[in-house]
This record gives sequence, structure tokens and C-alpha cells, in this order.
Amino acid sequence: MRARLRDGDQAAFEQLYDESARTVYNHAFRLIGDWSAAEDVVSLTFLEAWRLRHRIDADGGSLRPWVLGIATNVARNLRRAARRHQAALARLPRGEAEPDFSEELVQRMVDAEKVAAARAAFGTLRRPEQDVIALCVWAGLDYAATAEALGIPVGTVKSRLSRARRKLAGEPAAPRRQVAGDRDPAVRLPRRNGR
Amino acid sequence: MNERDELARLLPPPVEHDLPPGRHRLLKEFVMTEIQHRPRRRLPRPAVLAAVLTAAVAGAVALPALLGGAPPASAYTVAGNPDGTITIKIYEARDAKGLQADLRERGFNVIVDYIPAGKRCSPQPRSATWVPGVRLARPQSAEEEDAGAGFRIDPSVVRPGQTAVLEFLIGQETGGHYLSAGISDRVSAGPVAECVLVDKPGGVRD
Repeated sequence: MRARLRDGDQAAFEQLYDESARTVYNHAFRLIGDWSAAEDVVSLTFLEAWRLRHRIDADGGSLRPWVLGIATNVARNLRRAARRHQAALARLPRGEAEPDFSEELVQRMVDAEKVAAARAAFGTLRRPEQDVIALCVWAGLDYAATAEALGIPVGTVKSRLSRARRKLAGEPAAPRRQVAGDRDPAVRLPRRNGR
Repeated sequence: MNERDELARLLPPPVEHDLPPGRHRLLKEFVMTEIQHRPRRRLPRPAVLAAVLTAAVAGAVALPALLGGAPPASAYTVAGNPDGTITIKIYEARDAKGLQADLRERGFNVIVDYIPAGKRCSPQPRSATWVPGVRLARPQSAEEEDAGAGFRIDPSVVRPGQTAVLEFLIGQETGGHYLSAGISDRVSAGPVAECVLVDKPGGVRD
């Protein structure tokens, strides 16, 4: 699968879409809290995945961490990703064309309370902590896969999770130890999509 | 209990949805069409998109930001390319009719309108004769992209007697960014109504 994707095999890419679109959609929603924008993230993530396919390592397991890493970057830099694929997005079919929307809407309103509760707690965390929770706790990646998705050391994943847990549990913050790669500059430099 | 289990306990369970009915397939068709379209130039528009062309306008895209320094003298730039396409970069959401005039000077029969957030053109549809499957915009080259966001339009898709219509939905201005909610890039075979801006019912977002 990895080799086929690297070689630009469109059937393999279609399979990747089928296997990952739902995961990307839900992951994006958890990060940005907007189902419609989450659809944009799905489209942009796969356009980015195609663009960046040559960066796939020939060796390795599931491509889920790689796709979710791109999705995280797209969701966090939506404006930039949208600019890169500006002309394509102009052709993106919009949800309004969907006729049977009302039932879906009702279900979503039922979920709205749950979403509000989750986002209230989630929103107290810093973005790097949110990203590891979304990947490691909700999307079900293990520590190593989360580290791979975000391009950070496993130790950093653990320390961010630990810090998030203490915040959510209302515990006082532990003395901050510097872990390599765990500094966020006050002014974030643009990250490359998909690393 | 490890950190993951403890965090899962502290946070409400996440809401999980499938993509809405039809959207999974539609977005997949869109992505697959785009990746087939992307490497080559001057391909005819894939037929798969014809079914969705009734959706008037488009997704979230960003117009170039003013990133400090001296602002450009013009709100936009227009440059012709050897292959007949025209590269347009928009820096500020003003002077739509200036852009229209510059494009017309190049012999390109086009109507340009900027539509602020919360507004829409009236009447709708502006044309009863949209040419199905014909779109004007395409990605600019990588070199052009390095010089700032923009896009190319292809006047050759407009036949004699037809009119190209470029509409830009302009979002809020935040920190020098004009976030465009979309571009409509269609061609009309017949008359096109003048765009009179009226309040759009419902929210700002398309």
C-alpha cells in the first residue's frame, strides 16, 4: 500500500480515502467544532496527502498516523491549506446540495450538548495538548503512532497527556521540565503541512 | 490506570458521525477528480462535476494576506501567460470593477463582483443559461504560488458571445486577511443580470 501510494497509484489512494475519511472527519470536528468545516478538512487532507505522497516511507505499518497528522495540520492551518488548494476548492460541491439534511440535523442537535460539554473541558487546554488528546485518546492512536503523526518524540506525547490530565483533574501543575521538542514559540512559525 | 484511560474518563465521550449521506461519495469523487486533473494542464473539466455545478458557490478559500511591508499599489494584479491563461492575485477586496475592466482590456468578456459576508447577489440565478461543465479557475503554477496566493483563469473556455462571471465571496477582515468564502467561476451563454447586493437569509457561512 505504501509503495503503491508513493508511485501515484490512484486505486490505492481511493482505498486510503475509503478507509480514513470517517476518521479524518471526526478528528477534524473534535479539533475545530464545526461539522461543515470538518468536511473541508476531509477534502483538503486528501488533496494534501496526494501532494505529499512521495514523503511516505516505504517501510512502516498503517498509514492512519500519517493521514491524521496531515489532518491535524490542515485543521490547525485551515486558511493556509485552503489557499494552497484555492482553485480546487472553488469546484468543491457544497453540502447545501444535499436534500435529506433535516434528519441529520436533528441527530446533531441531540449531540450538541455532549459536544458543548466536551469542548468546554477541551477548550481549557493548549493546542498541543488538544492535538495529542484528539489523536491518542479519541482517534485511538497509541503513543508511538501519535508521536509519528505529530512529528514529535514519544516522551513529548506522554508529557503533554500528563499535563492535560492534571489540568482536567484540577491538580496543580507539576514543575515544568523541558523536554526536547516540547517548546511552543510565542509566535508560531509556519509548519509545513504533513511535515 | 494509565494517562489515556484517565483522560478518557475525565473527558465526555466524543461524538462520532459518519459523513452525511452522499457526502462521503461526493467528496471522494471531488478528491479523485482533482488528483487526476492536477498533474496536467488544459484538460477538459471532468464530467463527474457536472452534477454538482448547480451549487452556486464554493468552499472556504483565503485570498492573499497583506503581510506587512509596503502594500501593493493596486488591489490586485493581472498577468498574462504564454499559454493564454491569466494569473490573478487579489490583495484587497476592493475595486472589482477595476479588475473587470483590466480583464476586458485583454479581450476577455467577463463580469467581476465581490460579495461581502452576509450578502448575496440578486436576482438569483443571474443567468438562465449557465454553460454546464465549464469553469474558469485553475491552480497557478508552483512558481506563482511562491510569489503569493492566486489563481489562473482560462479565457479560451469562453466561446464568442458568451460571458464569464467571476464572483468572490468576501469574509471578514481579520488582521489584514481577507478570508474569501468562495469563488464562483462560471460562463453564461446568454444575458447576465447585474448583481444587486441584498442581505442573505440565514448565517454568514455558505
